[in-house]
Amino acid sequence: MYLVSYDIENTKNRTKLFEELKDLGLLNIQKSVFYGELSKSEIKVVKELFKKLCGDEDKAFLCRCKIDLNDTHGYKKADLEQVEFDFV
Amino acid sequence: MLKHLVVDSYGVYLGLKSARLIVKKDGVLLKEYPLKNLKTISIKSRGVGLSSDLAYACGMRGVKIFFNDFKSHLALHTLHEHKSVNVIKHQILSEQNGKDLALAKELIIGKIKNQRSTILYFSRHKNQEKAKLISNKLSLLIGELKKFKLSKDEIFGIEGSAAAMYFKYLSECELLGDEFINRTGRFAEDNINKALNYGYAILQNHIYKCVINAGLNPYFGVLHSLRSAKPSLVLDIMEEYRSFVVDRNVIKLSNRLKGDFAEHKKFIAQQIINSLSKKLNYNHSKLSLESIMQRQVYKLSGFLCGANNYHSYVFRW
Repeated sequence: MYLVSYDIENTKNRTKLFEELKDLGLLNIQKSVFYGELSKSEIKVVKELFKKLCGDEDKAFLCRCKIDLNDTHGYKKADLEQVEFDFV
Repeated sequence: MLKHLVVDSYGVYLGLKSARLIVKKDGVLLKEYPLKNLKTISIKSRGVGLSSDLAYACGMRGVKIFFNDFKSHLALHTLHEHKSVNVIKHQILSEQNGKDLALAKELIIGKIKNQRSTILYFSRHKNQEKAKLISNKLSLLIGELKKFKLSKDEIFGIEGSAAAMYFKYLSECELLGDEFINRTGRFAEDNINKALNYGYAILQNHIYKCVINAGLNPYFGVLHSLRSAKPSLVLDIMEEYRSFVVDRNVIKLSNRLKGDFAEHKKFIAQQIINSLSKKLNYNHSKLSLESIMQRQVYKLSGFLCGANNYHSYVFRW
């Protein structure tokens, strides 16, 4: 599992990165924090996106981590897990 | 990540935003799913809106969209997967070179073996003698299939008598609840038969998906009769998995299936898809049942094209 976080000033670029990370299947667990599984190639994609969309003053990172539900506040199990099957 | 989406509510709209599927109702965004891992969308209700952009994106990604109710089965997909025409050529030729009979036999042997293991599994603690008796009878039928050269009708006959024995046993031992008397296909009135039919429909979608991925023609079967709009090959391959995937789940849920059937639909679908994602042993490795089914269909396609033998997947109980 990976955590991706960013601080981008330009609204257009920020929205673009937000959309792209969502397309990769990451969950936006906070306004500019994403969490979820990434494959090796997807990690490369995220790094490329950082290069493309972050200005000189902006900051962004990704790191490997596992969030333990017991160590959180205000989250439910469903907020941190993607389902394989859903019924609408 | 989401692999299968089932839509069963009137007035829902499915659209596309960036590379995600969005679900809206009355203009309000309900849910968003990335298309990345999506494999099937099953639409089980009328009045569901579908955007052309989404249909295009699904076609490009090989996502199959299924529409089905109790009467019909329809799948939307592109022929992207049918690039390999040779597979279809060999599939059609199978009728002449006798491979269709060999395959039909193997599929039915697999079906009876799996029915036998379902019976033995649910008779671990009670009715053991009765179960043994019936398992011996089923073993005899398997022996018959293996030994003799049989025609399609004879194979179907053996399959039919095995199925009759199997459902009679389930009904006598009240494994499917006391409501269940005999098995009815279409126009079933009791909840157990409805649940079985609903489960088979879900399984059918999954097998259809595997068949399309393997480049085979789902309508050219080896055992079921060839009729327009009847996916014979899918129905043939399904035989192997019916008892493990659907019957076992319905037997487990049979006590809960009382009252209005519509209320139980979601739960049944959930249970069946759960058992499809369950990891099982396959060729010394652990794979989800869904991937096993896909590999089996690839092997079947290989068999038709002249490669190794095909062996049906037998579940351990």
